[in-house]
Amino acid sequence: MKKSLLWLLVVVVAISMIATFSLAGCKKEAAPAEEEVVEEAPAEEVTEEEAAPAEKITIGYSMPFIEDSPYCFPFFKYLEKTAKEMGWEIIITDAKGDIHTQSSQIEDLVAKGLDGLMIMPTDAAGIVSVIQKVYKDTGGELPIICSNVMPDPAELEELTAFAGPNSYLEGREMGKFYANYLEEKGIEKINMTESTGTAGYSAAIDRQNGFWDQVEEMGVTDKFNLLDRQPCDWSPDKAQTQTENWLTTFGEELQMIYSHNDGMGIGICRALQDAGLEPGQVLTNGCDGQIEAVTLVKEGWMMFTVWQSPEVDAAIAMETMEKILAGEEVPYFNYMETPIVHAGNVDDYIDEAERIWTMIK
Amino acid sequence: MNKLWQKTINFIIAQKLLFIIILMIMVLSIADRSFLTIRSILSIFDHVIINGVMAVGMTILLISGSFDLSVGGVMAFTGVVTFLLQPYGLFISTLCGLLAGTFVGVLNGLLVVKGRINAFIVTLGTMIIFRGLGLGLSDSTPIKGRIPSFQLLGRGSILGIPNSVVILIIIYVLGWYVLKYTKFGRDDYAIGGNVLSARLAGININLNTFFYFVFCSFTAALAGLLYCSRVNTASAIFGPGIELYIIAAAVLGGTSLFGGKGGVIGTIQGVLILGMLERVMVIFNVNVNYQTLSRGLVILAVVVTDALVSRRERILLVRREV
Repeated sequence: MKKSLLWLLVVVVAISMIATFSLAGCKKEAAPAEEEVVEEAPAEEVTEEEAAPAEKITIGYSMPFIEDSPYCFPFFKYLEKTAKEMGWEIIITDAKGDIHTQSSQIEDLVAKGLDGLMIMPTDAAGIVSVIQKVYKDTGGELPIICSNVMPDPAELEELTAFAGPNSYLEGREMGKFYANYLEEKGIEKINMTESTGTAGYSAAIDRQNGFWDQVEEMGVTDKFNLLDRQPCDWSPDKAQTQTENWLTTFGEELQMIYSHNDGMGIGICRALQDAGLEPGQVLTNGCDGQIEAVTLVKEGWMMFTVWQSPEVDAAIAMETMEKILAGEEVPYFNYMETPIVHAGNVDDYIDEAERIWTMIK
Repeated sequence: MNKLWQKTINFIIAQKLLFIIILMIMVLSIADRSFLTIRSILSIFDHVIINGVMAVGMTILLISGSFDLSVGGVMAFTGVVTFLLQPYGLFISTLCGLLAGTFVGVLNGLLVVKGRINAFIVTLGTMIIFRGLGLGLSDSTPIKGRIPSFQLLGRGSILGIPNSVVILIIIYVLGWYVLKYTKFGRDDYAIGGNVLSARLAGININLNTFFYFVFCSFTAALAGLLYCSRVNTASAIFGPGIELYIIAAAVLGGTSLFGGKGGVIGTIQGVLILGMLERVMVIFNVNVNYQTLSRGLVILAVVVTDALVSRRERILLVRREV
């Protein structure tokens, strides 16, 4: 009997809480209506400029993953920081690497009502139909930006703009750097392996295709003898193990490892260090500009890395959105600069890298 | 009066998931005025469709006391096969995709029933094999759809109701009917409840278990078709970790991991709660860092109340018998 009384009490409390909430909700709903009526009379005196900032801008940002990626986490932090500085409310969702979850989360964001939507696609091709659906549902009134990862095809009628790095161009730049190096040193043929990002992710595909397209364009494909290509999923540990395997299999034959990002580059360098090799004996690289990678470039273990700052990446997305919301014309492609950090210019970058990547921790 | 209260309370306890859903709808519609629009409600189904379709097969399999980890792999594999065969036409590619996915269930069933290997280990193996096969077939790159009309399956709608929601409802009605009114369904509970007595009652346990596996893979393959149709792309990496999410939804809906207990009505409620939870995250702008924690806490909270309530139910039962 006592127990059923207890249950009764719980139910009563719950119902009364709902009642209070809904009353409060009604009041809230009723209140602005009254205000509007009151305000309407002196409204003529209030200039539009004064009235505008009162409405807070709400932006939705759909991310593919956050904690799993060494790049996305600082990116997420800078996104929050930039939004705070601009006084915007930003709602960030995490799709945990699944395109359908991302699609549903975008629906949630749009249903809540946004001023602008930003997407970092989990899958470059899969996001297209999602963007098209949002465009159709909102009648094209909601500005949509793809950030960091380009949709495939890159130019979409329904998309307002793209903001971020050009992964394909990064791949090309990396290919160019290697090709020029071989040219400079007069090396006719180099035995190499490729450590790729997670299979199926667009940055991995772009950096792979960019590299080989560039090399082909320069007519030096024959110089690069690809011994093996393995996905190391952006992970330092996997790249380290893989490099150890390669060193066992190919031994002295292995002269170069092309890596798709810094994380794997760091793992590769660790394996090379453990194997007792000298810096520069096996050429390798990074891509992102993490502090560890920049340090490795300075020490000579890595030949170069690509400077892709998450801070700039987040900022360019927000700036592009700000311009669009202000009614300015923006170009479709808003690329950030991604210069190469090599032995010659590493000192210019090391302090900046220190600042960007340590602030987060 | 006292009896009426008792009845009301019992009803609330029995339908606790329904009340959680109603509570969530109330809170959400208060917090966000645009929540109670048709568009907004339908978009909740976005979270529910893929998981919901897969969860029917999983529920039926779980009731029989078995387990399938390969559903995510089957889902992705189906999509890859379908999209690779699209040059041969819409009908052939879709049918072959569905058959390829269902075939995994045949394999799972045979290995578990004839090979007498633990379902957990078999399906863990097939999960990795078919994800791997998908990666190999697709050359680790996403495949873009070639037939635009295939998108109608997941994105089209009849009289304003999305096709995918219609499919979801059909498969749930089917699952509910089979479990409640057919021998095949009732045997499911018997096998999960007690294998020995089920065998003594003359139920062909091997044959039944085999078909539960096939059906589970069939729903996963169907979910794969819906998934790929909605994003018009197929990739072997689609749906990472989805199998555990499906199992969580089924358990949330009251299906026991040890078999013999549960049903698809509970499962759809579980899937809905998890789907609406995603909306809660967005509407209340829960910090991304705490979203996973919140999901875990909600699942745990419901399961713990479930455990407490079922203990109470047992007490009530004993009292009534006395």
